[in-house]
Amino acid sequence: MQEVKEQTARNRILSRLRRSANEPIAFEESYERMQGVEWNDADRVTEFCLQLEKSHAEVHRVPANDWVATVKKILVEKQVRSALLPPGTPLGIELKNALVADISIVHYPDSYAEFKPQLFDDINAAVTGARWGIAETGTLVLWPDAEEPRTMSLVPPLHVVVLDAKQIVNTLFSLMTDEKWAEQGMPSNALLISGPSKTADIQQTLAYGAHGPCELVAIVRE
Amino acid sequence: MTVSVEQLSERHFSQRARIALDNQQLRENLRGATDWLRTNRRASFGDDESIETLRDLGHSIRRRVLSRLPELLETLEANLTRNGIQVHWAEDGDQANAIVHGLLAARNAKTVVKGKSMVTEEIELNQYLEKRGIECIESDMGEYIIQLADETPSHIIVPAVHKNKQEIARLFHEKIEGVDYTEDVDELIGIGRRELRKKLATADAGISGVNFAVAETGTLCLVENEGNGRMCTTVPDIHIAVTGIEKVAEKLTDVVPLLALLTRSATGQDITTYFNMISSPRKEGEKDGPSEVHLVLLDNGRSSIYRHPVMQPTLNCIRCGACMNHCPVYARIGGHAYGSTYPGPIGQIVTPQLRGLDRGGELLNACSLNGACGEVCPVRIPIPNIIRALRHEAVSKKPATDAEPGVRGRGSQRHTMEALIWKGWQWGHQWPFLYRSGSWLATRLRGLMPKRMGAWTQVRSTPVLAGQTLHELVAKKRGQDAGS
Amino acid sequence: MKRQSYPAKPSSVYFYGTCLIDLIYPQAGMDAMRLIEREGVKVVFPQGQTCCGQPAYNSGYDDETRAVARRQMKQFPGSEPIVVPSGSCAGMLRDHYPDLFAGTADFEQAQVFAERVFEFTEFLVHVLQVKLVDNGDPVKVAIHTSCSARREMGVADEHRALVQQMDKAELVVQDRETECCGFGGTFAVKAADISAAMVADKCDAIVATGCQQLVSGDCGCLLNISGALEYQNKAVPQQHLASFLWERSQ
Repeated sequence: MQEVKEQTARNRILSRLRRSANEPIAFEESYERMQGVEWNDADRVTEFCLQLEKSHAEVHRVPANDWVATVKKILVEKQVRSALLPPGTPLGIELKNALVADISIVHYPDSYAEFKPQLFDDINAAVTGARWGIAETGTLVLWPDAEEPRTMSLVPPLHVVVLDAKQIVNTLFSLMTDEKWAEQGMPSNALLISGPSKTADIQQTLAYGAHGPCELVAIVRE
Repeated sequence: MTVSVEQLSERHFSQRARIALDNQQLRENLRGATDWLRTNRRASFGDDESIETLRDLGHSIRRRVLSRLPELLETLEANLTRNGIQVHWAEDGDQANAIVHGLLAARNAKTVVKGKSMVTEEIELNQYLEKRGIECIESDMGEYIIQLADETPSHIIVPAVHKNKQEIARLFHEKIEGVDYTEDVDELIGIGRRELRKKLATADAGISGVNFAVAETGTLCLVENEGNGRMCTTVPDIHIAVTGIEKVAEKLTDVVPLLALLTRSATGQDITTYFNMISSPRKEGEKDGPSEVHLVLLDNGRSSIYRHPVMQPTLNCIRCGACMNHCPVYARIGGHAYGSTYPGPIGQIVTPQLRGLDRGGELLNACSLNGACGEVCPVRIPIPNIIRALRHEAVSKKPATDAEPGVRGRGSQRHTMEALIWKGWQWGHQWPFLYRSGSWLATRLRGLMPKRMGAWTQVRSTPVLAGQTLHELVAKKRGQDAGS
Repeated sequence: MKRQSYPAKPSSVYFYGTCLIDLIYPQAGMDAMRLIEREGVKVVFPQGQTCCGQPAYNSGYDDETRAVARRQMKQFPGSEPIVVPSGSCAGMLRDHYPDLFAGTADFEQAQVFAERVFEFTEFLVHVLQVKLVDNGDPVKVAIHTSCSARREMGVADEHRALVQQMDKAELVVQDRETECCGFGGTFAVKAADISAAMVADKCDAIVATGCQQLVSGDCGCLLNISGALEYQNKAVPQQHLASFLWERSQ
């Protein structure tokens, strides 16, 4: 019954729209403007860090062989007691080995519903990777999956993101087109994250930690 | 007794405006907020050329999408369905509300967390669900404040823009158990976070709007800073998105310039904290995310706007709020005075078209046609021209026909006296002899001009006519020139 | 939209006086014509002109507007430029006549007519390329640029450039300079309270600059602002830009 009703609504809406005298316009815009600035490798990383810091994130540039120690130092300094890690990625495995003595390491169980109370109330931090960084806006690009579920970058008050400097691109537009996002199909959830959660809903006063992470730390591995 | 703005019906725009104008606190809050938003926008766009190029692009994308809207809606539906997102169609608010309620009731959902969505305000979804025993919790900080105060948003991006922190501090203290009065914004946000997280963690369903629905990939995009939008679309087991049929983007790359325009125009940000692109419910093996995602596509008058060639650009709107931030009228009366879901210039063109000119036509008077809205609109909606065209519809005596349906309520603002005045004006200005005799006489009898001239002289001195018109001065000078 | 290109100096032009100048500020019209004539250009003022039709057009009375607009176009035969000492009326003649006549037999005429329309200050700056000498006393002056002059005609810079040619005049800028003064024709009557609030704010901003003189290229705004200032007993001397320039450069 409901389905029939909706089908009728659908047909009526579409037929009303089709009665207009529109001439269809083909895709012809120049997107040159969106290519934006092209940086060289060094400047691109610098720009990324600068922009992300402007969005109130803490950014650390570290040599590739030093990143585990940096993450550990940050978590310890911020008095993290329990942290979510991806169970099976190289990032998760390496970190687990380094942290397990000091911090309680948590992985998502299969039943997410039962895990929610612990996720919201007990977990202090999550460490994830990022697929890409965008220099123009200082943006981290995450494609959550079974290893790094969507809520990892959302619920714990501290989110630490590890990114390889070579994964930093110029603009969102160049990323989408170079990596052929549309052609290859989108993941269930793709996220652009630029800083910790924030709001200015009370008298234009900026406050961090509205609903998501209060702190965002980016580790750029060079 | 103070009358609150919400207590007056939509028919009393001028009374509501009067109340708002007399509220000094409101005036200050609005002035501070609109100045701040204007400055931020300007700073984020850089030079004029860069603004204009981007606006050109935004405009041509929206025009292209609208030109092929029915086809793109079908592509969107096909790709969403392929991705496992269920698509529903609603001709009006009642149908949309019933669809959402049906989905919730079938899953025995009792509490719903909501991300900011103007379209659900438009169809009054919260009221519909509350009446049927489903609790709706607004999770955007501004919306949460408004819900606590039992008000409606006064701005489409900054819902509580009309309140200052003292007012919010009092509200939290009065309405939330165990909260002491504090004006510290970090503390206030902390309180909101704590209260809302309880709800976000346990709600049965999440409802959101959509900023861009990408046909090419079947993706729903949401723009936000707080993370509540991600919470609503990620944490509960079912996510229902509701959007107007115009919010389609053809290609994934279309969202790049539209996003850049939206965040800069709205709050002057180069990008928001989160850009959330949802293309499927939780997949096999994934650990979180809703197991069901639904999209309700709402018409509610949009297809009528679509059919009218002059009005169609109304549907370009990406709901950034820049028009209201720059409107000198909005900056003085705020959103509630409009008595409509969408306030400010965009509300002045959307509301009469959605509700009909008989119910929303009064709003058209609240515009000096100064053009500030059109100047900042990121998708170049010619708002002043549409206001003018709607005024024409409102006083048109031509009956609506099937071939030329016009706007609902056409002619409803036509009053005989006013029409006669304009007819008289036409005669007086169409015939130069009549005009010259009239103006000659008026300047000679200027001593007899009334000293009070209605609304004009309530705050202004009486205009004084010249002793001789320019026509006369020119004629006299020519005579002298010829004589000399 | 701002005009993209300007013609060479013509030997004669038409002058469109506007109804407000005709009835209330005729001196401004005379001064504007003198400024043009002084540059060696003949000025023709057709006696058959009345009103551009904007008040009716903005109120939605398109048929009535067309009747009056047709009559205006007839008064200006030939191809000479038509100079208008008002951004608002110039905007109507140039930007809105083609819209008004779209789909009618007069559309082409309206387009050709529109092309000939110049706002007074853009004509002085770009076509006549005037270089004025300031013979006036030192004065602190503020400009209020009308919304049509700023946004339809794009001539805010030209207003400013001309005032700045007066080297003994110090230009002061009021807060929220670009915001509407609240005139808007029938708006001032139909939304009287809102208009009153707008003009009150505009007056405060102007008084706060400490200016001794207010100038504008539009008499509607002048009438509104000066009327409100006078009502508050805060009168700041005000003039149409043309009178300001003519008086100082004689």
